[in-house]
Amino acid sequence: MTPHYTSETLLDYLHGALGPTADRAVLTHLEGCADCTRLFNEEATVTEALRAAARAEEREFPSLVKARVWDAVRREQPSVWMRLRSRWTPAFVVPVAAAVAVAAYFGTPVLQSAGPSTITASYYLDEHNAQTTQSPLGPSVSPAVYTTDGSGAATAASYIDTADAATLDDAAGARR
Amino acid sequence: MRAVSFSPGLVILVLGGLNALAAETPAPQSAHHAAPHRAVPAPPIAGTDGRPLIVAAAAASSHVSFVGQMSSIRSGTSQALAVISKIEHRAPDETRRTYLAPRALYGQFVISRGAMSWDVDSNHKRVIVTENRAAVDPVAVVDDIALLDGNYRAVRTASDDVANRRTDVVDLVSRYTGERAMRLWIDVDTHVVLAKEAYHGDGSLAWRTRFDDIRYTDDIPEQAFTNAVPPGFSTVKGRSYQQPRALPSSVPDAGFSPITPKYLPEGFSLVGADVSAVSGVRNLHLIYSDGIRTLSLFENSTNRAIDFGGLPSHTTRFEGHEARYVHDGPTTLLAWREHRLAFALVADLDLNELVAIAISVVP
Repeated sequence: MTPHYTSETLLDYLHGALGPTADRAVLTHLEGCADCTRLFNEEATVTEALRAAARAEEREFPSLVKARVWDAVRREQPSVWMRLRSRWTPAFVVPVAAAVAVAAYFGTPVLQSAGPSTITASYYLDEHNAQTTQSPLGPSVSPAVYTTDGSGAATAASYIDTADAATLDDAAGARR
Repeated sequence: MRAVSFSPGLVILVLGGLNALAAETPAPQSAHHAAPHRAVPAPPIAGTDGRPLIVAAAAASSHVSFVGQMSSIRSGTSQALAVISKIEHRAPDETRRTYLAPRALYGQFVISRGAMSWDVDSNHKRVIVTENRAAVDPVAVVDDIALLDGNYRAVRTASDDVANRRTDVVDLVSRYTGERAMRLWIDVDTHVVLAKEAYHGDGSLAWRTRFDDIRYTDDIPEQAFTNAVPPGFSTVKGRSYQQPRALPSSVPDAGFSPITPKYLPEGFSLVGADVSAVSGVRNLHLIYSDGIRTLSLFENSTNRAIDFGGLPSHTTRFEGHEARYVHDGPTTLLAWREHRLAFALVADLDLNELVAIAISVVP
């Protein structure tokens, strides 16, 4: 049995970046491996969402689309290597190096600002909306809530107006 | 054709409570829904008493089955979100909502049965199972109507046609300001609410729902409400929303002394409280209502700021505190920290109103 493929390999496969032999091997494996197929579908969903948003070329594409993109982005857990590799560009390295130099010069308050884990805004909005649905005079539209657990992490409420912030660039930035 | 089926238990309890409120004499307020003492006479509005229609409408879905298509609009500060969905409802408490638009939601559907709901997300090949006990609390429904009755006058103002059905148009008018807060279109025959509009204090539309078409029938295929997980789909446990504790029995112990606001908009009163743990933090949720609108105040004793993620949050200041807020359609979330507590206010209210409440939390 062929070992399972990593998300990096599946992403390369998805983007057509593998050679013919490797490409064929991945395809054959996917046809018989449910786990890898599931992982591949997740990667494909993120990619397709980003592509669809880019194709739309809307100045302000619908909040729900952006919420879904953000939801997918946040649930995705790229490997350390992926993060390092994607960040290693001049556009990123130069300002980061400058920031590190400034931080080293002025001390460490910036590094100390990293606090404990936080509670997401969508958690509060979900809890509030859950209460409003009990009212017979409420909006009666159960929003498609993307909160999948009680941890408060990795959530995105569907009705959040993300027009000003959740651009495609922002989403891509979050992935890096 | 009107499809009607009666079931005992919950329906009887709801109807019993609601019928009491439909009496000619003003309904008595429950202990924790004290009658507003600052009420001033609102200017008279032409029309007849619409309260019996409201009471009938609140109970209609528990004994009427139907299939229809609904359009919903939630209006934000600069844009609006429209959702179109197909609704299949079988009395007393089974509903399937299949999203038709926007495209990002197309094909996704949610099946709810009582407190449980199954959100079938075909894009991610998963089913999210959520429990919301607050949504099926018959006592809460009765209390809501009682609170509504204390703060709003229901006035039948006109007749209209919605989805080719004859409706009574009922306005809910604030007893304090005389302003219309909500308008409902209630089916003359079945009392199902075919359209609703809610308004901000300045008269602008906050949200509306409207059936584009509706057909009353009991003949809905059983498979429409099956919660069987489709092949190849994973099951994900979603959030579990607890039924809030009725007050004033007691505020649940959150591990710190809760602080309540000294100021609330006219008609709002504390109706429930709950404590939940999120990210290891015990969060107190105080719930206020005026019968139509709900206001949530969250408190916890950590030093953690709210993570707004990619949401377009903004900064405001009051009494030396820096606060962050974000708009979610007609809903606003305001978060700040003071006295070593983290607070979050959520409501369909203007920011100025939320700030006024926030200032009064720790005066």
